[in-house]
Amino acid sequence: MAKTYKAMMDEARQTIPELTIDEVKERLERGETCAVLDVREREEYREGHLAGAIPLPRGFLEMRIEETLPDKTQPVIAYCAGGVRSLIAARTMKELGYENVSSMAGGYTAWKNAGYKWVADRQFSQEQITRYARHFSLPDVGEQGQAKLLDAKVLCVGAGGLGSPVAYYLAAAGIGTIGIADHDTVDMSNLQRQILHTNDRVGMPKVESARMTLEALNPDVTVVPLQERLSSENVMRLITGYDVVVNGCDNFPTRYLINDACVMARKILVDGSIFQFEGQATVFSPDEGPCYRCLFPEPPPPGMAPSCAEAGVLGVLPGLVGCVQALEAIKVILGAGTPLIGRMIHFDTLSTEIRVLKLRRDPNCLVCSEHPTITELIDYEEFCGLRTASAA
Amino acid sequence: MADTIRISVTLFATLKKYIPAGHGSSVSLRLPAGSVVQDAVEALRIPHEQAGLLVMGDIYIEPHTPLADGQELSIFPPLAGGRHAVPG
Repeated sequence: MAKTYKAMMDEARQTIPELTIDEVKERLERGETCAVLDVREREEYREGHLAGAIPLPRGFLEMRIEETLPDKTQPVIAYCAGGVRSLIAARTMKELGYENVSSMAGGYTAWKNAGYKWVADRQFSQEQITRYARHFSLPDVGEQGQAKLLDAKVLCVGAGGLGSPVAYYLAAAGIGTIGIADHDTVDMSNLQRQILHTNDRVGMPKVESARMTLEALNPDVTVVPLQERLSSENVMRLITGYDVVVNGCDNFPTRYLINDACVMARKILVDGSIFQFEGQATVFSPDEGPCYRCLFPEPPPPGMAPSCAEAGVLGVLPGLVGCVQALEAIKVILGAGTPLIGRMIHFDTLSTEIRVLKLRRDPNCLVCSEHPTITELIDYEEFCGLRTASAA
Repeated sequence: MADTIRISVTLFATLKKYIPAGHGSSVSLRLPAGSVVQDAVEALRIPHEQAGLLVMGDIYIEPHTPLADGQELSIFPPLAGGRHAVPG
């Protein structure tokens, strides 16, 4: 004969220990290592939950629990709104081999009514839930990661070849604030690679064109246009307030200036550069790895060059390098994976060879060592009569 | 012990022009035994400030690192960025 609901619940209560909200509170306050599993629906979780609770809706429990909690010996406290769904969930987990599962009687409602501590995640709009759905389902991003991205502030130096894919993908990912520093205007010859800009915007300031493109792509993003030529006078002011700086400049004076400023301001700098068919990218993080001057202490002397003809660049190459930079910036913000700190990725696109080089800090570095000799920002001379802050 | 060693050097980006014609991006060098990385750089007439990253295998090494027969050295220059040529 089929079981009644009541019989099933009674049976579950015999095998699953039920904890009171006070017992749960006490165990958590003792710092006991147990997983707290919230088996309610996503919408319920979003509105408020126990701090550190893992969301796993009851409907997905069997499918995802082993991935979520691989250690079946670890103590687990399940809860739902009132204590019924979590009891059934706990019983299912026991059947799946979880050795130490309990259910919180009274559930989240009793917990909240008792005035115990709860937290609410960022509230996403319906549009955001749809827009970032593919991020939400990634274990290393999820709703908390997306909230970090939306709260993040990234400065892109240059809205050119590298800056275009960087800013484009950062905006698509929902980086909440993107500063764009570039003094230049859109030129027809930029359009072969600088995908932020369009034919009908030739002559327009690049920061304005970038703002139009990025805000059209994602209204969540605030673009801060900084139409200024970078110099020792303004660089510290421009990088202030940003979590990460992404370097998409095309010349040595700016490259050294940004590096030194980021070392002095303790900012993470995601570096990228290109030449014809080759490109490279790395992440400079103060104290964690080398800076640009650890690798290349001084810029090549100006005037050394007999000629400075246009070197050319394959239009898609900055796309490749810029995407790596955007990816690394996002990894840094999320705290996900292993950032490209102390390593440099080098692409040789003609031979299709990718190398990852191990770098190291120079203990005698001019700017990032314990006893730096460079303690003020330097405006190096321009090379080849080129201005210092136009973009790649 | 042999009097000389033979190493292979691969040059990247703006340094490719220091490879003798007809060698692609790598060149095989014969150097006196006991040579260091800087000797290979000089043998190829690469200006000191352009021989930025010296790499053996995938690891950054110093100019005074001794070389051994059969090793493969890679040299990466600093790259300015995009549109414009670098000096040299």
